[in-house]
Amino acid sequence: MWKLASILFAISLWSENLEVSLATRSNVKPLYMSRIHTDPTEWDWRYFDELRSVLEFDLNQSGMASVAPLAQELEDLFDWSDVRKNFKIEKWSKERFPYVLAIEVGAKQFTLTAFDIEKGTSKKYPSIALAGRIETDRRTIHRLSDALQKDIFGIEGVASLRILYAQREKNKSSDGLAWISEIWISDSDGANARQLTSEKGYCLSPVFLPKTGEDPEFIYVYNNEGQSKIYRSCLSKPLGIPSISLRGNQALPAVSKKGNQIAFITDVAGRPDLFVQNFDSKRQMVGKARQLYSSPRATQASPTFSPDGKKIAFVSDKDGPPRIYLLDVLDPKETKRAKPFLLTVKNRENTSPAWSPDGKKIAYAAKTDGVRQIWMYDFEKEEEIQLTSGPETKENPAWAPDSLHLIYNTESDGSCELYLLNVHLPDPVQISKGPGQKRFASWETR
Amino acid sequence: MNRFRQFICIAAMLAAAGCARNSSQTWEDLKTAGRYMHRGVDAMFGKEYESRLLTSDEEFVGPYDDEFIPLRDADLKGASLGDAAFPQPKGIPGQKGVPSLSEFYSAPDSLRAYFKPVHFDTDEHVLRDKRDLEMLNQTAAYMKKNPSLYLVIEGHCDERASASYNLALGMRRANYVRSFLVKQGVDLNRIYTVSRGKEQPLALGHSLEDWKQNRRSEFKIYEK
Repeated sequence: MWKLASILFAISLWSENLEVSLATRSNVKPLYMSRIHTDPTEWDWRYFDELRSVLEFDLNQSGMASVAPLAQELEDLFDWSDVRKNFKIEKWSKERFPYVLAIEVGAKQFTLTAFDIEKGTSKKYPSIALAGRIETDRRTIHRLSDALQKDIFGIEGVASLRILYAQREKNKSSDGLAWISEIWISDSDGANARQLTSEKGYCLSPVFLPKTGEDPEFIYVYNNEGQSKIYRSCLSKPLGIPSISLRGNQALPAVSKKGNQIAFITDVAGRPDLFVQNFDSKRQMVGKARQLYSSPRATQASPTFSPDGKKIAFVSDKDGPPRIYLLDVLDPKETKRAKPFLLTVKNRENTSPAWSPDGKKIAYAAKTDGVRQIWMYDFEKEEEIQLTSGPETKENPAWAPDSLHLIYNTESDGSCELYLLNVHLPDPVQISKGPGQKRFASWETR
Repeated sequence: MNRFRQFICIAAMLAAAGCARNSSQTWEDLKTAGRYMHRGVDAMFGKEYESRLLTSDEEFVGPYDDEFIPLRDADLKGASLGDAAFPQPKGIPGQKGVPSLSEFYSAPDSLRAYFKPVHFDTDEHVLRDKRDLEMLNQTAAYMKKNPSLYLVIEGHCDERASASYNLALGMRRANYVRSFLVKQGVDLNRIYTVSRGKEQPLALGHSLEDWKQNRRSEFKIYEK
């Protein structure tokens, strides 16, 4: 036994030296994207520039490509009379770009042609009708970007999926709480932000439900001046339907990938315990909520489901500072006991875990040298990897369906912003704009 | 014995990992290791701390008046730990004669002495200050004398922990104060809890004193 203990001792000290291993740009391929070729009299150039910048942002954030700056000598290589037929592949072969994109706009149609220089192939995408409204056309470009990424890199992009988040502001009214919070939605790049709820109370923790129709639904926690409860709504109109019928407070909900289970924290039994409630395909409760974990002296928080819905990762301070534990979601008739397994040992304050849709990673926030950073537990490597650095506090990571992108929020004095992070890229990008503190992001499902 | 060995290993690993850290971090790790050791020793003598699930169909269905399926764990129900849990009130706020929680108000000056905020240590949900406990004794006595009085206990936290964890910790704090009052004989159906996490701070600064002010439970009352 002592031999084993001494080995573990040595391993723990050795692993201490394996600190930060940030992702690199080594797999990112350079890509040249043309100016938008059009009749300058047809439309506003600034409008075209914005559409091009949307596509550029999406491709740069894909983690697969890096769009090169515009260069006149490269623009001169395009023959716009028939850009595909007259593409000068021998000249482009001498350049450093494996992919080239040519964009044309004519008669309110946006046309993209992609060239694979290494394979000598090309694809002209069906022309897209532009609406002339930037919010609509941005979303159209996001969809094109996702399709393009699938064709070039084999992985469908997530640019067209939207982000739900809670926005906190000082209450301008003298009635009620000093701070209020509402649920907002934006595109994945932070644009087109709009308020969804108008409760004038405290709304938090929005989570998209798996898509079943054209009008995506979500749940959120609403705490007016009363207790916090979980409600369901949809994007097109506010519904505010109570989702779980239970006394006390319910908070921090998580939805299983199939949408048939919601895990949450509630004090219905007198402590903040981990509960789960089953649902049918019509979002109706099945049976009673089940108390999954409670501990006499501990606080439980922030559940997140494994993709198969058979495990939950959650936060508990049962052994000291908050850490992340795994727990089997056993069938209620199961006679075996579910015991939590300690997952994160490298840092002390570990909170807000989020299980990736591919099941291979859990992102979480952990206090690192006094600052809360985003970390990732990699199940394949069985390693805790630091993803962010810098002086700002960061928390609430949320995975995109591709398990490559995360959105998290910073927390500092009076300012909370949303950041987009590709786990293969070293630099997160701020996507939120405007007033208010933006937190608790959730990514739309496919 | 295998279980004991497992606990020793985890404890050794956590204690060892702590050696390369600063003193407060090492202390936190040793506390965690200590708890594992303690449980390991208890497990050897057949005492279990972990929660368990149900064991039969009958338990799954449960009594009709139960709103949820509870864990079957004697340890969780024990009041001897000084951290007993009491289920939330039966009455739903705003329904069947129970006031809506938005109708509750801060205690007027004449009653302020019974409903002063109480304060917690960092990351704690147990009250340590004797003055707070004495005040809660008076709160309980006043509540017992006034059976038409309803109470909402709010749990608040300082800004340092994460927003999500603080929502749960605020819940913990409010329920601790509620349990304290119930143990003094106050009717549990007249006390509601709310967690505000760190969402509604009282002091907006970042000093130790500001944080202390924000780690609090506040009271709101409603007299029928």
